[in-house]
Amino acid sequence: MSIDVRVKLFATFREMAGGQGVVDVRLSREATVRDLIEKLSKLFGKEIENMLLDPKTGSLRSFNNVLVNGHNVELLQELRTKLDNGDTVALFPPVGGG
Amino acid sequence: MYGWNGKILRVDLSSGKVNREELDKYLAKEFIGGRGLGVKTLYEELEPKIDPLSPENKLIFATGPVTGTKAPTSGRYCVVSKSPLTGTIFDSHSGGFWGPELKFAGYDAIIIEGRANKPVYIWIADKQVEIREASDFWGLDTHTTTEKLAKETDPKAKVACIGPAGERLVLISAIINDKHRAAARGGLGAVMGYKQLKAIVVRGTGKVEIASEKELDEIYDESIVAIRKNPITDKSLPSLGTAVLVNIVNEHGMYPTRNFQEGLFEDAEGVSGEKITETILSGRRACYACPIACGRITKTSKKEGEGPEYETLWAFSAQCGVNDLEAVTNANYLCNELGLDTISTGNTIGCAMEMHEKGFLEEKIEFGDAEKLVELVEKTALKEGVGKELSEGSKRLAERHGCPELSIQVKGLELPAYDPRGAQGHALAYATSNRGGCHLRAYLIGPELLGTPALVDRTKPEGKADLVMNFQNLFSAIDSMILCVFSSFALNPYHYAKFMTAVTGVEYTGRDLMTIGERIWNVERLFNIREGFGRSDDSLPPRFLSTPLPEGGSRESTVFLEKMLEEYYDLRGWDNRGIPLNSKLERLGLSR
Repeated sequence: MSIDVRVKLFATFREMAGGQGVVDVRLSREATVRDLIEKLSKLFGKEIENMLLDPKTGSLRSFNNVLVNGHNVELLQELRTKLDNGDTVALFPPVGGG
Repeated sequence: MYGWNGKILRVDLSSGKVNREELDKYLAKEFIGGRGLGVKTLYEELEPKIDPLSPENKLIFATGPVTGTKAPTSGRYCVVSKSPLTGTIFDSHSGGFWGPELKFAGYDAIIIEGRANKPVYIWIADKQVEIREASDFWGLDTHTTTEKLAKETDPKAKVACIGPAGERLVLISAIINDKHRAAARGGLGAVMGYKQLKAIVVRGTGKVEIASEKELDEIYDESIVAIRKNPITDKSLPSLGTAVLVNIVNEHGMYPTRNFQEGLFEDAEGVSGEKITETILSGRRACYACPIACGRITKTSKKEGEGPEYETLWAFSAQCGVNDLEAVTNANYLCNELGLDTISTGNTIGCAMEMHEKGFLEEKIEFGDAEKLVELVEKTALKEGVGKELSEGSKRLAERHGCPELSIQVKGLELPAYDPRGAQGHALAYATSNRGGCHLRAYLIGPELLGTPALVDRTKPEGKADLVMNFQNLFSAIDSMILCVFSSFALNPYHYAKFMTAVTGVEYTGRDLMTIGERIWNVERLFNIREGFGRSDDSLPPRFLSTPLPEGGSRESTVFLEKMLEEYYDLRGWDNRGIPLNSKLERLGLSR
């Protein structure tokens, strides 16, 4: 059984994905955010993984924003957050504004 | 004095007299400058309940002790007055290069009183200060005005002026400096227009005296390291500008769409920061002494200019249901040229669109009509047709037509680009801001959405009162030094205190700055209370309290305002009417 997840890439993440803003990804049923990041790095190269994960600890670099259905995973279960069929995951680098 | 020039210009336009005054040392130490200097001065000097568009109102252009030094982001100034839009005390800030020039000319602030009996401009060249005839410039847009005034005075002069909107007393009009920078919120352009003051032109050849160059160099180096280390100030603001927020706020489901009826704009992508970078961006711009350079130079098929920034982009796209980037950008350029606040203008037009949709306004103003949008911006500036009503802002517009609940503002100031149902702390910030619905008094979006300095749960009201209060106090101090609040993504009170100490020679700690900020906040509160504001004005439009958003990442929530407000008053040391207790005022040195 597998699930389909929609990934939206913004700002510099979009550049890493060769300009693609939206990518549909198929994952296994119990997949987590970590599994998704691994899949993205297989698709687009290590740069995405390096941007998202601290290579020393393997955990999420806090200054990124990874949203699942509009909620920041830092307030869910971080990399262990489970994904469901039809979820939208959005990736943003650290940003600010007014 | 170091940092401060120690001189205030007082210009009485009624009599034509120009006086040079000493900057009061107590005022400087306890209120710093900029916003603090402006609000304390007006609290002391203005009679209660005056008409903001009367000779009794005063208009203060103020800088701070670090303005015009090498401190990063120190290129700003502010304009302080009683706002004709809100009736509150109001400080409006702007970047560019005008502020430092005033410091180089030898002044900390200019207090403008009375009213000229014909159009004038003020020309300042170091010690020489003149009130000159401006009839030849009255009626001109801000760009033409700036160019012509520089020709008439000095090619290196910096110009802050109003356009046709301010001249016509449009309540949402702006003061524009360096052509593309705006002290926009609160309608202070109308105060300037009422006084028949077209512009203030400054040429300064001096420099700011620094108490300790060595200490300044040290804290400067430390700050640059911090700014370079921080991904927001080092990467995303420089490369993507503020417009990068469009997609983020939309993904959180709180990007106000069609007058805050929804939180998701289906066409956000087409009018996003990414889209600007791909299509109309032609360069970057930095203000004086700024290493961040978040400004955007852009070009459409019609013209060139700067912006749109995040707020402007929102105000003319999602707020109005418009997905045409070229139209949005042209509307932005028009606001700079005619002198309008983009947030209030876009918000008010969106309000008119919902009013028409629901049958309260006959004029055919429909969501999504890009051509009408640009037309209405011009009409608003010139008070033509329905523009006359739009020019008064959304509160008066909606009240006149019997639908006050459709006006999305707090204390009369139109809300900016974040739906409060998506972020409880930010909602409280809107409700308690001393100048009305504003995101810059306490940028809770930082912690609640962007995770800076740390991520907090935006859906929870707990702990938000404390955060809001601390941000408000800190930003009051930053607004008085004056630095750009974007510096606060990377710097904190430690850095700000070191800048103050190095530049002025007066010892400041981070805690001192927070106390000064609290003092400034309370003076503003006292001013507003004296004008008749109370707890019932610390509120939000009804839809945020009763109607959840229909879809997106912020759906199904409303604002827990009462709960947070009680805690906020308590933490502030105010009673349950929101009035500062005597004990609080004594501790801040404000008791009468």
